[in-house]
Amino acid sequence: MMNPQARRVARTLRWAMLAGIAALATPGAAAAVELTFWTNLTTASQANVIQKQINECAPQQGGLTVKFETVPFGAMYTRLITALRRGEAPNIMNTIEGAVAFMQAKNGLVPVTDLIDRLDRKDFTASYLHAVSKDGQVWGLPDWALHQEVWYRKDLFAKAGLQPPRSWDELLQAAKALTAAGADGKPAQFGFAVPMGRSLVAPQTYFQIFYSAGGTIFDPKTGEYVFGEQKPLAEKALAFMIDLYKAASPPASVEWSWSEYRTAFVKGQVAMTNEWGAVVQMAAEQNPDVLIQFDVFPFPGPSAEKKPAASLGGGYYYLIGKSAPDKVAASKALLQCLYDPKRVAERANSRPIFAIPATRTAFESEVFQSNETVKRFKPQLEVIFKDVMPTWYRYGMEAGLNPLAGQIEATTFIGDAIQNAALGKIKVDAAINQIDEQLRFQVEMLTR
Amino acid sequence: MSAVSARLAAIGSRYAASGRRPPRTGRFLDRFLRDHKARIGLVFIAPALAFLIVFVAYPVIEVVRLSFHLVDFATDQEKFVGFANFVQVLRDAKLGTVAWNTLVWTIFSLAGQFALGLTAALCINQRLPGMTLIRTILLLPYVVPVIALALFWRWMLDGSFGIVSAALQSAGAIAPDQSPLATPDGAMATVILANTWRGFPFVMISYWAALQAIPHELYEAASVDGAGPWQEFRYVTLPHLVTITKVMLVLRLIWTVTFFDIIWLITRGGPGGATEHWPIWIYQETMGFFRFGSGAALAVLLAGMLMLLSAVYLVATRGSAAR
Repeated sequence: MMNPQARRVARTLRWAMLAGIAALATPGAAAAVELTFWTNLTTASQANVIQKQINECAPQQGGLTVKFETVPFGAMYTRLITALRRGEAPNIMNTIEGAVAFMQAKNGLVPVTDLIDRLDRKDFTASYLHAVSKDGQVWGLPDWALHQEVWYRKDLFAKAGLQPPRSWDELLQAAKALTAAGADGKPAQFGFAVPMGRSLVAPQTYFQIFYSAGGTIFDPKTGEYVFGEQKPLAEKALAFMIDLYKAASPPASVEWSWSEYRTAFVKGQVAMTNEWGAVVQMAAEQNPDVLIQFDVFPFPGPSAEKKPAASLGGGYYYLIGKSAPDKVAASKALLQCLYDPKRVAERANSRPIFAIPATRTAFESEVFQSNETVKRFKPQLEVIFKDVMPTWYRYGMEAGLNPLAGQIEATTFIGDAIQNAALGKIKVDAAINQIDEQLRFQVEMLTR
Repeated sequence: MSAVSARLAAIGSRYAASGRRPPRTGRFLDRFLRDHKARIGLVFIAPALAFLIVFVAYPVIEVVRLSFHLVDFATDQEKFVGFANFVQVLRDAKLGTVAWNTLVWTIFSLAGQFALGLTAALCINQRLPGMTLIRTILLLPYVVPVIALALFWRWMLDGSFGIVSAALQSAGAIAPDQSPLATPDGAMATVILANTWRGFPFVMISYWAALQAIPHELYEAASVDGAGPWQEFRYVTLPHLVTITKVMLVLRLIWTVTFFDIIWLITRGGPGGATEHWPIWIYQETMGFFRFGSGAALAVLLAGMLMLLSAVYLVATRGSAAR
């Protein structure tokens, strides 16, 4: 028989055990969890917003700790490979759609379908969910949109008596009309920048045109490889791109990357450019007077009777890495907090116009709409949100996640074929044949 | 007979006289380990040996091993595929273009660096006021970080705002708003020029060191014999530069063929693959397509070609030296 003191000690221990069990059973259990969180957004204005929001949300899980790290896009794949080999992939990652495909193909992600449903699936722009869907699951939470449309100078259009083009032919004519000779007979202004930098830029320019005509690499519904069957359309799109380049783009643009064509547009060297919206911030810094003249229209399709079938787009997503159930649960709870519409809007506002929220509630929120840059470009944002963002593809991901997208972006086989056709080294049909052969080869290698 | 040969002959005759067989390698090792001096020597070379094994031998062996495997980098699973990776890269349509680009890049870079390096070395070898400053200035390209150099060249060659492009446009050498970087030949010429500019100081300083070692009496004797500046250069200076040229040629050949940064940062191998050389191809296979096996196969092929070329060169030059 126990003495009273021993009974008191036993009672205290029992209560302590019960309290411990209760603590483990409540959300406060996450207190012992540490998450690793990577983002590709390395600029301070963007990374600081995410860090601030993590600091707001983590304490809601009873002291959950989050190890936040900015990983430059250029170093991301190398870091991911190393992390995957060591079984230390990040618990949460903020990156673009190509990396979602990469991680999913390597069996490194858990689906976020349940979280999408909890947050309200209808709130997300459907195209952003489609891009990261596979096997009936959604593998990334869309955060903000990368969008491509034509940015043009209203004053130059007015001066030339032009309206926003509605077809390829109208676009070509407008670009020609806006290509003006200077006093010395050399072009003082070009109508349209057709950048064809070997890595990334050439495919982005080409697929904008190809998608506008209704072409795809994979059938969006069946997932079958269809680029080979669409060669006539692919050739037509490339021929138009080269016509536009020869008629109205600076000759050096055959190797231009983003900085060159954006600078040319902001400085007034070109009147139109296919763009992601980054020209706004660049003009605000370098040539603010010209901002008032900026306007947008969706890249037109081949004929004026039919709206463009799609554009080339992309987006930033949040992914959850495969790990222990408690870490996955804590990651989902953290992301649920980060997806408060105000927070989504705040993140988009860290790079206004370039980043547009992928959820309607965030887009319509007071936080987003009250941003000074957003207010200034409200009509343009409406066009982008309503006419561009709902129908976009990323090369190789027309039917959902596919690691081919990452390979296209990290290599140059499409850029080489396009540049060689533009330089007249090969014909358009040969360039498309090269792209088709390489795509087939890469698809075969991925399934080997 | 050299001292070593004489010593070996003495050891041989000692064994022959005693009727015993010479000890095998294992027994030599035993004796070596029993030898105090040898053990001390081993201790001294151990750190360097360990470094070489870990950081040189292991990566090389690993690359050769990888070249025969199909690797899934995420799961670390590997499958032996024999020569399949080699067959795949050798059948690649761009093999010819890449090999040609590598050849053009290497030959013209080396020619530029050696011509400019020798000229500069002859200039800085003069005893003139301010020469120390000139030598320092001429060394600058070699110490400038490659990224700064690449940006500097890209800016100068920008079709719209670059000073070099503007000059070429004014001279009618290229079209208005055109850049040499946007044409295949212009891009190759640009990267070769940039590499020549970057690499000539090394050649210059090596040649200058060799020039300093030529006895002045030889020039005096040549002068007494009535030799002019060209004959002095041809018959005194050049023969003294042969040895350093042989060494530098092998070194610069290896460094130039495998030099990745400058082309990648200026043209990324474009336009249309016009400046894509072997190391860029290796990079694309490995870090673009994540085909580590194919990338390793390409690296092994490049190493093999370089070793073969160096061996042929050394044998050929040894032969000529013997004659």
